[in-house]
Amino acid sequence: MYTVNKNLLNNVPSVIVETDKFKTITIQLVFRSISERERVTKRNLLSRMMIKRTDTFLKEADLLNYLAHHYGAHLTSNTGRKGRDHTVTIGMELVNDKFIYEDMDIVGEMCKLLNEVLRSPFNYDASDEDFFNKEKRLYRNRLKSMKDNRAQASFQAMVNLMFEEEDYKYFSFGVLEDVESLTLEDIKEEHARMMAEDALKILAVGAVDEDIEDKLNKIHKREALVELKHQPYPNKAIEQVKRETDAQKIEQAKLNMGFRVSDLDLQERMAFNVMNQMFGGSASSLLFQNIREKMSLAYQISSQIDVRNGYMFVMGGVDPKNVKKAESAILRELETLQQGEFDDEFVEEVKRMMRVNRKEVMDKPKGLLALEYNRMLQDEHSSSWEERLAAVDSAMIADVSKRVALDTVYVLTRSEEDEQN
Amino acid sequence: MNKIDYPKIDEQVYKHECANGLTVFIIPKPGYSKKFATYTTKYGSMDDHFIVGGEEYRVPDGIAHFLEHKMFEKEDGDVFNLFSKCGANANAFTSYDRTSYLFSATESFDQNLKLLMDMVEQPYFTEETVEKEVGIINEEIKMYQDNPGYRLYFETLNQMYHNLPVKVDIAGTEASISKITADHLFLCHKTFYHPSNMVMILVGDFDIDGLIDYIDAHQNRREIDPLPKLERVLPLEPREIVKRKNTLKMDVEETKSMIGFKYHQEDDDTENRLKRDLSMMFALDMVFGEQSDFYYELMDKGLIDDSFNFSHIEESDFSHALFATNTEEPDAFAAEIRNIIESVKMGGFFTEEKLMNQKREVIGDYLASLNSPEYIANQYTKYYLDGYDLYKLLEVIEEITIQEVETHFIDVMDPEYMVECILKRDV
Repeated sequence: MYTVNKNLLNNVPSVIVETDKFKTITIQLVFRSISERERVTKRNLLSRMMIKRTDTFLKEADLLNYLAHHYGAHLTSNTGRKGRDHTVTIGMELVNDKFIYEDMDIVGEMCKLLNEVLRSPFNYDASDEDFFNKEKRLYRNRLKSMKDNRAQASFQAMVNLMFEEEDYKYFSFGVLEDVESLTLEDIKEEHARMMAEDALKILAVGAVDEDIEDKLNKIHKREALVELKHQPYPNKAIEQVKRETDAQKIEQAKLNMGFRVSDLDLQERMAFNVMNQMFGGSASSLLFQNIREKMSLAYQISSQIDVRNGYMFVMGGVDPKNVKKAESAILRELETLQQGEFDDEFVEEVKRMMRVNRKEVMDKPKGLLALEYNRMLQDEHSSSWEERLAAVDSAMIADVSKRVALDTVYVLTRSEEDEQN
Repeated sequence: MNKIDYPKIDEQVYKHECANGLTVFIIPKPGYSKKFATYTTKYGSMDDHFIVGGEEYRVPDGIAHFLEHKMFEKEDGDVFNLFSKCGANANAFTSYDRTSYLFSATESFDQNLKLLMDMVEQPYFTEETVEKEVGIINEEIKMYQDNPGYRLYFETLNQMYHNLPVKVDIAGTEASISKITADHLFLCHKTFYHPSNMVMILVGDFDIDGLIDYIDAHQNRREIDPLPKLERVLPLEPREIVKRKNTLKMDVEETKSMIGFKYHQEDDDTENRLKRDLSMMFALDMVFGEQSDFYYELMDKGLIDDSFNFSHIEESDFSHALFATNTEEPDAFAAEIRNIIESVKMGGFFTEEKLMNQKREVIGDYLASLNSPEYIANQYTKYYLDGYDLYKLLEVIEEITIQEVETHFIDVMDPEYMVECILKRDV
């Protein structure tokens, strides 16, 4: 269905996935560094500035018009977290030339543009202060407006409480309080650091031509290969369950619970993954079926995991009167897993669904690239994803579940109801 | 069965009519593991008043959405689980004018398709299960009530529309859904889930003939009476607005503003409507998009931030344009939007060069979205129900002229029919 070519382009590891399924070609440049408070906020601002202006395109509108002219090529930046690492991804999605009835080398032009994007902040000077301040304002507003999304705001509050003394509480999108003091000089320094010290990978997918490597070669050059070991955050023992409740003028309460599980090896991580799907990660999960469908306690209820770091989070939207009831019901569902009170059929059903979802991911350009990127981060000798999934059985699920322990409960509830809760 | 070729975009479509009136489209996507199915009835939140077989009915607000929820529940349990057991992800949604049921699967497609058809075709409601659903949907309504963007949107619609049910929340209200009975649900199912009022779209790598035979065999086993004459009753809606300006208060961090321009032209010609919609999309992008100097004026004056967005909707029964942003100066924002419109109306703003660039961008986005079977299934359905063809979009785009763009912009963006809604922090 598709072929994967791995290579080193000017000392930058690259993966090219060749397939004619898609009408587009997608290129990603992924920078990876260790996630630190110092870094995340600067990197968010930096990566946004990088995709807005370059040496050739001194105004945002000029760059956007150039992209529009190339059939709406999309230049994007994203930040994320993997284990203890922070990633900055510069992405380019463009239409395959074969659907265009004029002579244009879109891939070649866009690779040249990416080269400029990576270089641009070196030249920032006093004349870019206005641009910098505008981007600062926009970034601050983006972070502020996240607070108006109750589900997200309450999840962030839970993470802040759970990881009070750990770096994990700094989200990949940065820290609002740190934005104000940033200077243009900080951004330039961070850019120099990113270009020199980050592990960088170039990924591309689509019906590419034979000369794709020559074009990708123009994006970036390094004197030597930069490597950075990929690892999770260190484990932390739970002393006692932390609890906090805040109130706002809202209709629906948000219940957030954080759990930890320590020392998972690669096989156990897969079991943790399956366990999460059974617990709250899908529509057939215990939380969805029992808390929502049978008990009508919530409209939204789900769990998600950070599998590399061994954290599980449960998020629910519940009636303020039912918060306590929902919390006990959620913990009861976890006990069912811990005590192995489920049949093998359920485990197999969830595993089957995970295989389906993985295949579906491969039908998307960015999904394929995400799989290939993760594969590059893993050790060479490990067993395949499919083998590890096949090995998961009921006993393994019960074992992993027993190691999952509640760490934090955070509730955002309706202000008038405070007294009764 | 008809095969339609679209060589420009390298796509094909097979169209088939079942004997009972159901229309089926099969859209091949070779090389994709995922297969995607949607089963859609032309029945949405606006259909709250209708005449069928000579009898007139008014049903409670939110019933189409309620029915969607209830269709997943059968006597022997939840169909969601059965899809999961067959390795499929199922879902459904309700909009103003349609209700879609869908699943995606990479295996056991026929088995899942049968589940989908049986689920949508065979109703099962009891007073007890209806009552239980009220609890779940009330939580959904509350969740939306806490969403500032959603509140602002519906308040703005209420400032624009006097009578048209577009102003009512798709899920209804706590009061309206408590009035829904099993009898209402049976009535709406029988009326609107008739095969002649439905369309099925299948996207993926299929054995086309085998699939058509399978669907025909299933549909031929159903015993369906012809649908008596069905007439939807919509209230008259003048172009005049209800209320020019309004302020809402909520526990929010940032002040939000929404501006609406109401428009409606009685026009049965679907192609004209599509062209008007596309022209407006081009016009709004040219005037307010990130390539425009006006955008940077708004930005430099501090009146907008990244949250600024705009849209235009053109349906057979209503049409309007909306603008929204987080802003500390909602009045200045509204004044500036009016100023921009005035200066564009002076003429000379829209140029061939700008339109050409817009067209290229939209063509690129359109081709990119054809990577996605979900997009194809959902949009093909929408276009089909509206009387268009998604795969002919490039041809319509090519035909649009700068004059059309200018004329529609001037017609729609009339300050006489403008409303403003502001959502402020409740202190």
